[in-house]
Amino acid sequence: MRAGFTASVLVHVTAVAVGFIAFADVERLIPGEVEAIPIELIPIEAFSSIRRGSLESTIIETDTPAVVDTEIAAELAQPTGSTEEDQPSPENTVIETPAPTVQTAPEAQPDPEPDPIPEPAPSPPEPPAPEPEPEPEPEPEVAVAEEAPVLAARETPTPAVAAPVPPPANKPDEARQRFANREAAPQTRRRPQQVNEADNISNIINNEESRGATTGAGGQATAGRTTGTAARLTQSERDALASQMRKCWVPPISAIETEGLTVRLIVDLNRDGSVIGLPRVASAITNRVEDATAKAAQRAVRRCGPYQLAVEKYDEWRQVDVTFDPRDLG
Amino acid sequence: MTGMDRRKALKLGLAGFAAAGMVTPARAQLKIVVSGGEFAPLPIAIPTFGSSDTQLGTGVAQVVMANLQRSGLFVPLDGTNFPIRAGDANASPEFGPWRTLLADALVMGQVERDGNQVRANVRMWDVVAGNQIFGQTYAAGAGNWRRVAHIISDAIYTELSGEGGYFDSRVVYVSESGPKAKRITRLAIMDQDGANASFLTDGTSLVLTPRYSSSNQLLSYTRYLDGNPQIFLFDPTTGQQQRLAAKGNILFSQRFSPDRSKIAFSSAALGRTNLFIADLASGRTARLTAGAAIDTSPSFSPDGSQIAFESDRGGTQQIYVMNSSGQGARRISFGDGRYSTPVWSPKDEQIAFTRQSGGQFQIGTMRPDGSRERILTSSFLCEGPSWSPNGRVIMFWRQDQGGAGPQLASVDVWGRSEQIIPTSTFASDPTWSPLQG
Repeated sequence: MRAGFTASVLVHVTAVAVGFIAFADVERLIPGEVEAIPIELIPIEAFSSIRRGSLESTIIETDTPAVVDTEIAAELAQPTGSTEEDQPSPENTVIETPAPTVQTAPEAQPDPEPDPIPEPAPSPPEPPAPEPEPEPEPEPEVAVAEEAPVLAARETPTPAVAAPVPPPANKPDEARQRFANREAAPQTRRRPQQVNEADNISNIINNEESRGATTGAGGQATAGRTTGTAARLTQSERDALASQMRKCWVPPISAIETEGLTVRLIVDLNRDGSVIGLPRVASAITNRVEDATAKAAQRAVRRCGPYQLAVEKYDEWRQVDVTFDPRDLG
Repeated sequence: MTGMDRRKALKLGLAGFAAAGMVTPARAQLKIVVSGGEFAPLPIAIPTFGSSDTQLGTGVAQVVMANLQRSGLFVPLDGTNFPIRAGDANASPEFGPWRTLLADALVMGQVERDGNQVRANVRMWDVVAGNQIFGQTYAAGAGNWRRVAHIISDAIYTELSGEGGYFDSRVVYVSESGPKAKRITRLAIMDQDGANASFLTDGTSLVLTPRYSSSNQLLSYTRYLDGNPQIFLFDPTTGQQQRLAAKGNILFSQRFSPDRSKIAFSSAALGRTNLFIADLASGRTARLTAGAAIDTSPSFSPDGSQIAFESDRGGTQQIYVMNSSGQGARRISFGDGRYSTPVWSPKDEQIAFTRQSGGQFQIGTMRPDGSRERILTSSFLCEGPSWSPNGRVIMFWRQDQGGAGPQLASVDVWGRSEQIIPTSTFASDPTWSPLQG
């Protein structure tokens, strides 16, 4: 009994000790990190309407002129309102001014228009008065104030509207200029290097190839089409149109031998699905086989019309760009 | 005054608007792809040609229709429903009735004898589009009005298929007559459709393997002289011939280089059969292959830089390609069975061959690198492929099991429209001439 107990204790202790030694080396279980893939659900409509950037797009000239480029002589801002006519003095009226109410409901505002009509000022447009009172420049310097009006009066027709450059030939200005020059001096010395760096950076940007659509140097085109209104006809509607055309499509048999031969036609359609005129061949025709294939495609398009298409989507299919590909010919 | 101005301005504005509308039709364009497509022969309407000689007008139209029909690429429509009796090359047709007949193309022609010429004015119309495809005048000697029909067929075929034509060409073949044990063989010539056949040699000696050069006036063939095959040059237009002055008792399996300046052939001596090349101007002969193997059937590539030939150097008959100097031979046929008689297509893209496999003979094509092997026809016995001038049809000879003798047949490179070419005797070993031009 005692011997058994001793043996049991010994064996247990040994087992635990062996366990410690044996399992000490076991690698710890580290749960792997799983990277989540973000998935966004967007309607196909939105996807097919993505507009692709195009280097050939027309630049639209807007009429907004650049601030600096104007040819109109700058004019000093005139104080609004008449200063020469007597203002109507407030009268005593019988109408009571409504007492302010606590109510803040919308109807409490009787007249939302705060008189925005730009009344032509009755005062004749006067040249700047010789009086120094209409401070023309937002010059923070008090020192300039004495001479500024004279300068302003003389120079008003010439300077650009928003010329931020203070009129020169002032002593403090001269001083400031000198200081600025002195400050700029080391900068000019640094300049070539900076220019180089700037060049390098612009080189890097311009030669960056992953976004060819913006830099124009290869890379992958951005998604979408330049029109931004890609097929809103459903895929099955487009397939239906293609299969209607395929019914009459009999390519010349030699077209199989010519690998990669395709022919593109621009087909104009009437609202009833009938073909207008002869479809235009949009791909380059360089040999007789291509010519015969293009003619066969034109025949196919004309013969199988009018096409069954959803009339309400006429804007989508009034002009169809069809690529005929004679591959997989029986 | 102001009213005037306003009206002007309004007009100007409208015009500008209209112009803008016309200049920029750029709008959302639906793009679709129509791929695949079933090939079907093109329906074509060819009314009888107008002529003061009705027989001539009917004949020309029928030959044209037969040619197009045989090509397998066209279905000439039955003339009984045609809205007109005879074609008029000068009038613009009314397309409505032709559209109801489902014709894609309409050929209107007039043909007249004019002194010692036959002259045909032909216009082809695209019925679906309603415009003219071509309008031409063709002429040939009055003795052979069928040639005019062949030339017209070529023009139609070329316009509609995009391939060069092949109808205005002739075929020379070996005519075989008499009992099997004592066959009389003669060289015969005919139009590619089997018409206008005549014999070129008298049958006193055994003739084999006529081969056209790239000229209609130069042919070569093998003839047995005192029991040994020898090579002869032959002008089928004059009947003049000349023996190739090359040393050797057994010369055969000859073929011209594309520029006709050289001729490659086999010569057997001491149990070895090797390829040689002879310069026709100087008469000098050079060896192309050496060794104990049997090398025969040389055929030049269209640029003359390579030669395909058959050889048993690998144990069985197979097709090899080497430079025309004899260097760099490499095997290109690796299918089952034995491959022989390679013939390079004039279009350079394919080599036609005969294959023996599974107890049958086959005619097939493969690319010059051995890829894209295609079997076009299979029969108990068929051999000797020859290319049409446009590389689209292969003529060969075949004999059915139990048949009394060989016949000429043709098949196109897509394995379609196989047919027998009618000859008055048994016929084998056809060789297709270039276009007569």
